[in-house]
Amino acid sequence: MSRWVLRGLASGIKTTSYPKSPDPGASNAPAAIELNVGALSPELAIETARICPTEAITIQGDASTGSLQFDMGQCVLCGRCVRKAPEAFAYRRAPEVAVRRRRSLETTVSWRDGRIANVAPPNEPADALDKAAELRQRAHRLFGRSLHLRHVDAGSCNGCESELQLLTTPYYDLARLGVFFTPTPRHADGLLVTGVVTRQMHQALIATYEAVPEPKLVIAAGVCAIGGGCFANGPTTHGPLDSILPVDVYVPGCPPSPSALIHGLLLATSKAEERYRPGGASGGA
Amino acid sequence: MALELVFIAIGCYLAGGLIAVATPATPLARYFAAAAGTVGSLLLAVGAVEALISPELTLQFPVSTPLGGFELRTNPLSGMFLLLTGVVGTAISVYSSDYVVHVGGPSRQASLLALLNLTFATLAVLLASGNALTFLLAWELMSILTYVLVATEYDHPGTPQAAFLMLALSEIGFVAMALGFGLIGGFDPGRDFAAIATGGLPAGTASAAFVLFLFGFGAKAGLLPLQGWLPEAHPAAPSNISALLSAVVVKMAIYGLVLTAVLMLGSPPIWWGYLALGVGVITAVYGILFSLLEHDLKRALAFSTIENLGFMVAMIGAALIFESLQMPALEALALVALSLHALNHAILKGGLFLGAGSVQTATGSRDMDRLGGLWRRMKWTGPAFFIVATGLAGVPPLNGFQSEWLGLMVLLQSHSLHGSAVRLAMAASAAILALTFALAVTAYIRIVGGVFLGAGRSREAQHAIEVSFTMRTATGLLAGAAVVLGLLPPLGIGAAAAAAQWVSGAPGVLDSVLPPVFLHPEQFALPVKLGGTFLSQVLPVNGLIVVPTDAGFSSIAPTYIFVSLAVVIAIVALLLRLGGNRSRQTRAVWAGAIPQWEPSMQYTATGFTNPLRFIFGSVYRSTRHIEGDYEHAPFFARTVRYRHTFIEPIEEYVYGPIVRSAQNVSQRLGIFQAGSVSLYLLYMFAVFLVALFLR
Amino acid sequence: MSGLAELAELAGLPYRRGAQGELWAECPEADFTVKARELATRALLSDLFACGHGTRRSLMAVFSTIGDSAWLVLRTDLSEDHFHSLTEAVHAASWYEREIAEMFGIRPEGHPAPQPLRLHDWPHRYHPMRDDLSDMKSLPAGHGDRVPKVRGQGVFQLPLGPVRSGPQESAEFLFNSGGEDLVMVSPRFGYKMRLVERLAEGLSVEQALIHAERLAGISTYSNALAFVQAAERAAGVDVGRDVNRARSVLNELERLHHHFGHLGRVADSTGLTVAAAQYAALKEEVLRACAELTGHRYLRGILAFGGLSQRLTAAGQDHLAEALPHWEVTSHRLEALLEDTATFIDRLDGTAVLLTEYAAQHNLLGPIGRSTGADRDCRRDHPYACYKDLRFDVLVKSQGDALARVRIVLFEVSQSLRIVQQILEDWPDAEPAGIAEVRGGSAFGWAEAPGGEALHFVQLDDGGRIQRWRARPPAVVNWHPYAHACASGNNLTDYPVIEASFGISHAEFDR
Repeated sequence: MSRWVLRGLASGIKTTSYPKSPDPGASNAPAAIELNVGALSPELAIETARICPTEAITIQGDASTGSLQFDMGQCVLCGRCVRKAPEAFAYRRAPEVAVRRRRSLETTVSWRDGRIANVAPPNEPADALDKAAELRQRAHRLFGRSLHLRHVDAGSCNGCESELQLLTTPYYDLARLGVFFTPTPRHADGLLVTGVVTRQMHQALIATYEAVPEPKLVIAAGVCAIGGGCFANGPTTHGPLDSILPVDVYVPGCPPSPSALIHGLLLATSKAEERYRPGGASGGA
Repeated sequence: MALELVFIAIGCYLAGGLIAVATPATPLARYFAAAAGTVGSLLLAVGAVEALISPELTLQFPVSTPLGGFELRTNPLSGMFLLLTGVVGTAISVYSSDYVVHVGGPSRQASLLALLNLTFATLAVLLASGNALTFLLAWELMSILTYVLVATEYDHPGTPQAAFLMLALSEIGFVAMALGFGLIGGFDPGRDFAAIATGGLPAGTASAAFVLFLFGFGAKAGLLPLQGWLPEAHPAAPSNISALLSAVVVKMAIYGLVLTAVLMLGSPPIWWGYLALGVGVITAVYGILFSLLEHDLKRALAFSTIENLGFMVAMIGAALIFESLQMPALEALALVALSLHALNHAILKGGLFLGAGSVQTATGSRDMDRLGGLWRRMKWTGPAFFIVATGLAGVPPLNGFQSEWLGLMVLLQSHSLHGSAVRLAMAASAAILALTFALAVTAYIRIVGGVFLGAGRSREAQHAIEVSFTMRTATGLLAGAAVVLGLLPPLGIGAAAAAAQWVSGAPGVLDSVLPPVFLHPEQFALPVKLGGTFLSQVLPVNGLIVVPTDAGFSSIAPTYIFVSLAVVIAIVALLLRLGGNRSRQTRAVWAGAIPQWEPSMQYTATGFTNPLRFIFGSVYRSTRHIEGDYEHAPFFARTVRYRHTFIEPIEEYVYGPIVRSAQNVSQRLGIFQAGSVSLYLLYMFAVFLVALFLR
Repeated sequence: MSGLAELAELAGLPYRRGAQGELWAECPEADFTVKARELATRALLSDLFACGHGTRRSLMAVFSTIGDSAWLVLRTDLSEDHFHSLTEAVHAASWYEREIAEMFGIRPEGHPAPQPLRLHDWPHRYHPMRDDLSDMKSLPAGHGDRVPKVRGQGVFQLPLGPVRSGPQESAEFLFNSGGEDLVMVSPRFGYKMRLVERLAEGLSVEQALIHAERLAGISTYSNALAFVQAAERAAGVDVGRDVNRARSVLNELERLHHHFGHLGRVADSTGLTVAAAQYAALKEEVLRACAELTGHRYLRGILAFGGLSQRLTAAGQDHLAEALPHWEVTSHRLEALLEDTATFIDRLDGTAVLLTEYAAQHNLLGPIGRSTGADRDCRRDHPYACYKDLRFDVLVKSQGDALARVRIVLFEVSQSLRIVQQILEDWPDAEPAGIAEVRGGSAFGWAEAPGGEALHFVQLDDGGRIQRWRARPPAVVNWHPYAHACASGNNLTDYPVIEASFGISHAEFDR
């Protein structure tokens, strides 16, 4: 048995320095897509919408007057739009892609008479911002030092679970950030849900949510939970998570990498800030 | 005074019996008969207290028979057992007033009440008997009456056989006991006990008598190997009779053993003590091991009775050892532990059986694997049962803990003895008894959990209704008595000390076990330093700390535990109340969000002790059978059947061979009963010839 | 003449050749069961499924045999909504027939245990592969039945799931226990069913590829590979040697990260937290290498219809070459340490035994099958991609217990590392695929997923859109004997070890 101890010690420390400092080794795969509106044209927009397999890119109108809507909450990072229009659609590798509002994952680009007009940022009413700040403070006070989460697989492909399981392993070591997975919802501060909510798991999800004592958080991890991904209109899909439960944090990705998940968890406890908008600007709307 | 009260009590019992049979069977008659029994029992208890504090009284009856005269007497030892009879008798009588309705029709109810009262009267006479004749007659009468009582529901399958087994073993014991009395009394049943106690006997006769007494009384007490009737008779009998058996009747055997072995057969050789200690300890372990495997509630409780009886006999063994080593103080301590446990066990086991009877009445089932969830449905019986179960599990600060603890302290006194054999014997016994008590805790957690907690596992359990007022009150009475005895050690220990002092002859037993710290604080420096004068202004007793030998060795103060528990609970409740906003959210049980939770998704009583089958596999010889019902291949089985078997070693290896050989022999002898009249005439002629020849 | 061709002739079945390596035999409806049974006596039933909508429905049974790399497909057109069950004679057909019954409404008559497979608590009159999807959401729930039932004094049940302990997939296991022992485990699946097969109908292959990739998570690439190969064979597309080599190295990388994760979970279940951490670290390293090579940690988005979507990066190749010796040394060291740890070996030895005779009736796949003596590995038996040119060994054991399964996985790890090394020595220069020419047709595609052989069937219409996609990942077969293995005299405390030692995917089964 002591040989295992020696083996462990001999392996050294592998834990990532993220989030204290960036770790490019841990984020060498794309985490999200950023639009570079300057390189976009209506024709390109229509073309990319055609090849997007999950309707993350949708078009209204036509080539002369219309708009493109990009929804990271539906994007599975297949890369087809990037390969088709690399200047307009760029990969973002930095893993801070989690957001608090569903709309923060969407952006709309409209054009008139064949010319790109404007990029519409998500509309944030003034008092909503105050309320948001208030909620953030409360979340930090309640969960800032330790957050216990109950995971529910509402119908995933197991990719998100694989990444979640890696969070407790040496490279990421979630416990050092004060976040833990609990086996029982009674001890949990919130739910971490992966997977499109299937009809079969709907009741179980609600039962689990109700078994978590107040106050509680809900984190939607992965595109299936956010918008449904390629299963959005599936026959057994009950609906996106926020149509069933109030969601506090959305972490896009298919699956979201462990670093992205870390950012999402810290965002939930207000120990991190939002840094991603699909429109390309960073740090809030 | 004491004897007068006993007489009046007997009179009440007989009156009650008469009311039951002579009047038409109406509820009023029932209540009167039960009330008479209750009054009689109360008087018996008061008389018992009188007997404990007054010297011995004797009364001779003018009636004389060829065998001798009748004699009654009271003394502190009989007072102790009269006390427990009175207390438990009160509860049983109250309980029976309504319980008998569930046993059968009006005639059966009447006969049950009458015989019950008659049995109580017989028990009173037994405990008050002053010579062998009275004793043996009362004992026989008690055996027969209890046989009839156990067989009340003779139409249920298995009941007549169970009652017969009880009677058979009882009679075997009676023969041994009568022989024993004959040996020590010179075969003169009319000679009174006081005369026997002072007479000297040759060692061989005394030892033979001792073994006969141990065997004879052991049959009634349920010592190995004569315990077979207990697990059969208790479930077969109506619950008030089971309570009577376990609480009172088996204590008569303990009374008898103390009377004969300790009191009358003075200066015992040490091997008597070893024998009693050994048999007692093995019985105790055997009893609890099999209690843990039973799923029938009353069988589990019956095995627990065997365990407790084993403990009491072990205490008798310890007393004998100390008596042979000329250590009266320790002998007295052992007797205190014994008497106290007799009282405690009577109250607690009586309460358990009455509670079990309530459960069976409410649900119609004794199978713990089909019960559950009764805590919410039986709001009175549940807590009462819980209290007595906790007491019998030996959890401080209730009364059961006190007597079990004292018993272990007695055995741990081996450190002050000389001689490796005795030290080894006592230390080993202490270890085995400690194991037994630990297993007893498991057994009672299992019983209470299986019957009352969780959710009902069957429709009967889910629709159980709490029983009537008298039945609840009776169980509650005994639970209350357990709490009071636990709260105030001077009550129980006072009585036990009086009996022990009288038997052992050691002076000042009570003051030695329960030092009068309140009266003379200056003499007890250590107990006072430990806080022993707390409550001295409040309670009218001499002291509240129990000290077996000396305060430096060990001491407990159950009263203080009660008080501190109460204080802590009160503080916590207050803090919670003051602690600000505490919203309460009620949710369903978490079971992995399974779509439909069923009551079968809970541990059962059998499942709870399943691991023990493997741990003690050599004792149980447990086997497991799993079979699937399938047509084509096991892969398609729709039902799987699971069965566990185990053996009871005494049944398997002692009773079995004896019964089989007896049957064998009688079958062989059957050839003499050819059924032909001419053959029988031939036999008679042959005997006639032989008689003539001998003449 | 190949073994399967002989077999078809022996059974009196005329056959024709389909895509390369496929023999197609037609038979009338009434003869289907008889012929299938006859074939099953000498060949292995690899799949049994239904096809078609409305009145044009058919049943297909796929057979393979040792020594022949082809597949024999027995097909029949169905006019009724029932057929004679194969299950009594061929136990392996049991769950296939249950799936056909609940998905298509085609009843297998004479099936000894025809309860629902994935559609529990579901209205019984509704069949998802056949009926109109639009009213699925408004249907009321039905009631499920739990079989088998265990009866006995004191037997009780312990439900595990669907929401289980750590971050785990949702599935329900109902334990029947007598207290400490595990008498029976009744699994109930279907909680994660997303109906990928139906979703893909009508889509182009490129679009459906997204679904094929998201059928499973840690075996996502292998299933997508089987799917895309089926589509390519149906359309008659040949991807070329370099693409095949690239696809093979990615297949092995997935096997590596899956197996490292699996071994970590087994070690964790026996309490060896250091070993679990070590294996998890290895898994993370493989995932990073995959990300470096293809831009996705789980190799999604690299496959395209007709080849690969992009080149494998040069940086990724260097990263892989650098990391591979380190993985070899570390995994070898860990394997030696594990074999030397008595507590680990003892807990696995004799746990959850799958008897060879029993397992043989279910045609188990992958490491689980090989632990019971079923010598099957479709890289060797039905070479795809470039496996014909690669050298590797396959380990078979017959004890059938958890230790055998773990040892086979350890061996597979060493062989995968060996294959990656071979490919590194001759690194493929694969160009991104052009637009493949679409054509109608139907064919099978297969790949050795980490859990065993994944067999997919694709039927394309003339416009290149999917008419029917049948996905049979290895989990569909390997879950069969799970309850039986659990009931082989184990305790409740053994259960985590049992489940970890099997390590079968739920997403693959539920689809």
